[in-house]
Amino acid sequence: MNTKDFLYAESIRDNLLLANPQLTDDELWHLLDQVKLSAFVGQLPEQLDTVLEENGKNLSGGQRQRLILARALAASAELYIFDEITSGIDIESEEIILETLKALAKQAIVIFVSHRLYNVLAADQIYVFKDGRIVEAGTPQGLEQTSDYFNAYFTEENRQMRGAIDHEG
Amino acid sequence: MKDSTLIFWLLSFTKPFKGKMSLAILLGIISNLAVVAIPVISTLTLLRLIAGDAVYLSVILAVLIGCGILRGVARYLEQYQNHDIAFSLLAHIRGEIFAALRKIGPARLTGKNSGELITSISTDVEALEVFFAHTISPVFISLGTTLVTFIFLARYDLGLALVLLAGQLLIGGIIPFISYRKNLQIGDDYKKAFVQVNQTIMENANSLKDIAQFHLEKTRLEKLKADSNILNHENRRRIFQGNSLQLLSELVVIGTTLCVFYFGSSRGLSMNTIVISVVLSLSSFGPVLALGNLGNALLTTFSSGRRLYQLVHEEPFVEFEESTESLATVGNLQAENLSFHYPATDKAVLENISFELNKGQSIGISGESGSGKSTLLKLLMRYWDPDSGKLTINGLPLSSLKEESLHQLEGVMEQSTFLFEDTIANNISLKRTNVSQAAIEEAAKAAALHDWILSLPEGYETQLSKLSRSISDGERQRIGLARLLVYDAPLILLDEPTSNLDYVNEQAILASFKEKLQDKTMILVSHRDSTLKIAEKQLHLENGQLKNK
Repeated sequence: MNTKDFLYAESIRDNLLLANPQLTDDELWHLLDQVKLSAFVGQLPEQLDTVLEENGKNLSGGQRQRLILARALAASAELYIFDEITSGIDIESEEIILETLKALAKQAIVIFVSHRLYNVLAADQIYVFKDGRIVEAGTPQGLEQTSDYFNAYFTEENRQMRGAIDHEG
Repeated sequence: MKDSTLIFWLLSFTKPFKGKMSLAILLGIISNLAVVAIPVISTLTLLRLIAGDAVYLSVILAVLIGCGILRGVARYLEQYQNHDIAFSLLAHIRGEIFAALRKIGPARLTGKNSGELITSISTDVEALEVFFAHTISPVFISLGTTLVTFIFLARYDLGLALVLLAGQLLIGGIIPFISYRKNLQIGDDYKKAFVQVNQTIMENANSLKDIAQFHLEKTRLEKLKADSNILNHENRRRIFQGNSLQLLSELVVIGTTLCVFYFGSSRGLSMNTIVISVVLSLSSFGPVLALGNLGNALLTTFSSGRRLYQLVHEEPFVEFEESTESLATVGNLQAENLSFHYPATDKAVLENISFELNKGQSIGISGESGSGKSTLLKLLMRYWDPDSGKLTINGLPLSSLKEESLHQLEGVMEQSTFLFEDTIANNISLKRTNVSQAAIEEAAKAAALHDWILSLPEGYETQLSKLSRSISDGERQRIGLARLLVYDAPLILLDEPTSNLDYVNEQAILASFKEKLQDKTMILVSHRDSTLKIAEKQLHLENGQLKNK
């Protein structure tokens, strides 16, 4: 799952069933529960039958991304790769997505790619990429104590926050 | 919608071409009469020869060849004129469509599917060619030609002339009209099927990744196949109707000729009259047969015309004043008890929103997704007008400003930045000639783009399409930010301007923005406190109401 996933101009139900056509309505509601969308869908007049606009344009960025996450969960895969799926959405949605992934990681392998440090602190292992190479690897706790990268990151962050412009991080 | 409304609308475009069109009609009549003249003159000559009258064969031969040449030249010029008119009109109408799209504004366009718009702009406009090149002047050409042949034959015998006229009316008017009315649905059905195929192709292209992920290859292909089958079916219906029409017309030609012969002989008319009538009957149907085909061709053309008519006549949500004084600066921006709900729904998005900003001040507005943050900015851009309450700049209601003036006052950055297929420099300056290279570079530095741009082979002149990889969301957003700085408007409206940037880059860019935008009036909308903190005052939007934080 990345930020370019597509939602068809069909009902919410049909979009979710793409991942697994066997799911019952109860199971679909359970999926929406997991990404905290059931209240929102529940108050729509047509509920699961609500037809989306092309690529979910009638949803907010956060709602859209959570619905796509629900669809990904519907597939019940054993390995998930998420690429920057929390960029450009509201903080509430971001937290919901991170919580959902934490729960997911208990039963499936989750690879989560992000440019935001606080997004990946709950991972079992962190790999830091720079110029196409892994420059650091370890648990978040381990890296915090031993890694120059973490310290450098915060120093750099502080320097830049004071207004210095540097090349892309 | 009535066809007459559509026809008058389409005809209104042709006004500037009256002269050219009259010329085309005249040429068309000449070319058709030349065609009729050849067999008629030949027959007359033959009859004279049989009767033993004197005939100057060389003169007749010269006249016949002359008619042939005249036909060729007049026909060529007529077709040239008609197509010249038609394609000039199509170019003009494409311009009108874009003007209409701009007028109805981004607010209305959000509900449109991409397949629908592409069809309107491309094929629907093309389809009008049939009306402009093959309908308007051919109608007058047929009338002119038919009138001349009628008078010619009436001089021999009025009854036969009336029989021929009836046949011509049947083919050129009555049959195509009835067929058109009976099959009206065909054009719309065909167009609908065509749009659906376009839409499915667009969707499939946009969802390649999802198709692979969820094994949708078969279902999506089946859908495309099903849509294509419907299109084929509609096309078959359309062609069948066209062919039936043509067959019927040909039968009427033969029928009319037989009638002419039968009536001629039964009323004991002279051999000469009968022969001339039959020859004229067989040779004079060209222009009306061309009209007959329109009963089929106009089905899709008018269907396209109706769609374009509706698009062009769509009511915009807001109307801008034409001529009011323009503002150069924003001294004060005030919202008083604004309330708003979207036209299609009843639920209030904003209720009694009030705030005030003076020059150089800034506010940051936070709120959950769907709380109406973006809507509030869109009211300031006049995508819509509020249901109640006042929105003023320097004491003037926003609705009294003309469109350019509002666009000059406001520098807007929304969540997604559109990039043109052009160089990076042009994407930042938007090709406005008064923007210097120095200004572009300064903005790029503030948006943390400068070093990256310099690392590209052609620097600022690099074409976006020639990048070795596609541009990232973060780079896209930073180009948008540089564009905004270069635009240098007094009132800045920002909607999640840094949502695709990581924390470090965001803070760096915001710090330089804060410095550059010191004297600007600014409203910033974001869910992130890290973004909002560059604003002097922070407000929170919840359940449509604005509260102090």
